[in-house]
Amino acid sequence: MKTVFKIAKKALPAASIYFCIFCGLMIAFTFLAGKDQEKNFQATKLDILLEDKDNSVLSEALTEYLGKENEVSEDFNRELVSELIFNGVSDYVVYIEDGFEEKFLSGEQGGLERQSIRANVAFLDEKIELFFRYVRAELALGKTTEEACKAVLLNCEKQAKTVVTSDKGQSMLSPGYYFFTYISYILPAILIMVLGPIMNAYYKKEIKMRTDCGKLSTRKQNIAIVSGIAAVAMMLWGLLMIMGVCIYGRDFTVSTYLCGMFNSFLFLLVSVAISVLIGVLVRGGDALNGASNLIGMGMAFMCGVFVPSEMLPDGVNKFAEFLPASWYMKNVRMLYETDNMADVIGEYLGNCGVIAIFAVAIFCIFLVFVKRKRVV
Amino acid sequence: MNTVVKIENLVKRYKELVAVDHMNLAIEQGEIFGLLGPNGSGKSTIINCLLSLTSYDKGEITVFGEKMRADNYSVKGRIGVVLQNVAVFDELTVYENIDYFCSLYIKDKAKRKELVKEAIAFVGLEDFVKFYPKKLSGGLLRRLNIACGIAHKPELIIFDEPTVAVDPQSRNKILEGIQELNRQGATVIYTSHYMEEVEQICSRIAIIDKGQLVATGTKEELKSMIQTGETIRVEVPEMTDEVLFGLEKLSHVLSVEYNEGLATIKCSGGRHNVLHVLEYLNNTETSFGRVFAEQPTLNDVFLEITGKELRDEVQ
Repeated sequence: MKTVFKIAKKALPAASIYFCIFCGLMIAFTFLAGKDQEKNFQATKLDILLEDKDNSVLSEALTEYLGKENEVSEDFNRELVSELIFNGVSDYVVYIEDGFEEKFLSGEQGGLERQSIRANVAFLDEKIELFFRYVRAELALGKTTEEACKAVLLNCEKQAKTVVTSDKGQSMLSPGYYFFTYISYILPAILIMVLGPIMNAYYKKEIKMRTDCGKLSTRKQNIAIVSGIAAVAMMLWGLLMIMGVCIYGRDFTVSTYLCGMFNSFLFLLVSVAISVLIGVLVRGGDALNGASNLIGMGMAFMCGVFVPSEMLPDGVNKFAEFLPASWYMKNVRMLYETDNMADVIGEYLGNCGVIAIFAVAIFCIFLVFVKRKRVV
Repeated sequence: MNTVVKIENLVKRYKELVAVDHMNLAIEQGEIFGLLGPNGSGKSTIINCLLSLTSYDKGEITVFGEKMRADNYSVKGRIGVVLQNVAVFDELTVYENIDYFCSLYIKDKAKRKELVKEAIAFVGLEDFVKFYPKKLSGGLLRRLNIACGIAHKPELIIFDEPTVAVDPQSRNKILEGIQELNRQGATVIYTSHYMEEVEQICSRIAIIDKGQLVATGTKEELKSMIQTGETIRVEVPEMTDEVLFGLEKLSHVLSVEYNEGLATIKCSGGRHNVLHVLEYLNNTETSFGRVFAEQPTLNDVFLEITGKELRDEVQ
């Protein structure tokens, strides 16, 4: 076991570079995403100054329509408008003139004046135009002005649930989500770099032959290697979990953290199995480095770690089903998209089972290769 | 004498190729037993079978009176192995490597520490204990390989071509070391295709060719098996055919070759061969220069037994 640590120690500089870079990125992504996009998002209410001189059904409906998502003030004083605008108290001004409804129904332009104070509230113009289009559509169906306005206002209440996404389409979830997400890249990448050289060393033909000549039984040798590998893997996983608590402690709920931990532990087993298999198949530091990048990044990309799976072609998503990281990611998403874990515990455990099956299957493949290598 | 290793009727096949063909060998305690054979003759396969590193098709191998099996760890504990290819961890220092391989036999840390130090001193690697294998020259690496194999003080040590690609100084150090280990009581099995090494250190030799044991015995016994007893070389500036035929007719002379002023006369045993040749040259008034007489070498034995044709290597 001591020898395993000594070999692992030699691989640490290369692995720690990975660790530092990706931990740094993870933290950066998390904080940037958390502060600038997720936490700061809220539906913006504009302050609108409105003067309604028409007092018609349509003008009142428009006032109500605007008031649904904005602060509408009818305390209109033309002398104070300039001052309010200058001081930034109001964002938008609407003047509804007398005869506005009549003009609208007769298809004439005018009767309504609008003034945008800032360029970024120009969308309100479009919103008002939208209101008029809806009313016209309702009128075209033969409804009265009152019925048409009522119908439009009713429709406005049926608002679709908005899921806010970033420019990449990634769901904007808790910072802890990013922590567990990036683990699915870090674990296999680092473990291949650390465990690969250990397997390379022990399963080098000459070393294997030489150790097989020794008094120590094969079983004891294997126990020593497995114990060493388990200790190294647990140390890395433990370090990541502690780091997670330290950085995102406030963000985690107990159930999220425990379920995330268990999920990542199962993924650790898969990563260890992949790493030991790669360790007996691929020889040399450069080749292991390549394998680490190929497997770590390849799996991460295909399974929605870096690029959300919604943005990937169906073929890739289907292929990703055969990769353990995609099942791990399903659980991570589930943890952060579900309010009550109890509702999805069955699905969560099912995914955990699939990850465990992946670990066992890959480990069996490893054993087949080891057995084949044992024959001189 | 106790028989340390007994190989009976051993057969090992690699598909169609018979690597070891009904081999019988007995190695006695205290011997340095040489396994001599050309590349691909089956030396390393015999060693692998002996160490249970590979299975064999037929036969039986007994070591220290016990049947050798892959799980016979008590017997394995009494054997030291120095394999043909250097088997050390690149990630461990010289000291750590020897300590690791010693730990495959010795659990007690204090005892192991002592043994590792002794092994380091024995192979002369005291100045390199903290070096990693990649920093060592070929000769030092071979010495490290030996230290890893002998640190636990085994009773039987197997050296499989330990001097391949090493400089003469390191080779000499290795050969002296093997003799010293033998003096300390270890039985040694030494495989090589370097005749002079085997001749220098081995007390008994087996010549193997194409997986078969073609001859076994001491150096003297092997030399007595071949026709050539003594080779006499005489510098003769000019030699007539009459003199040449006359030399061939002398008793115990097997053959005479004359080439570029040098006559090579091969004799089959007999005594005073040089005297008889020189007397004949004097009588025929043939002038001659320097005279060399050589006893047969293992090389002569090897070439006469295995033939001079080139071999295709089969690994």
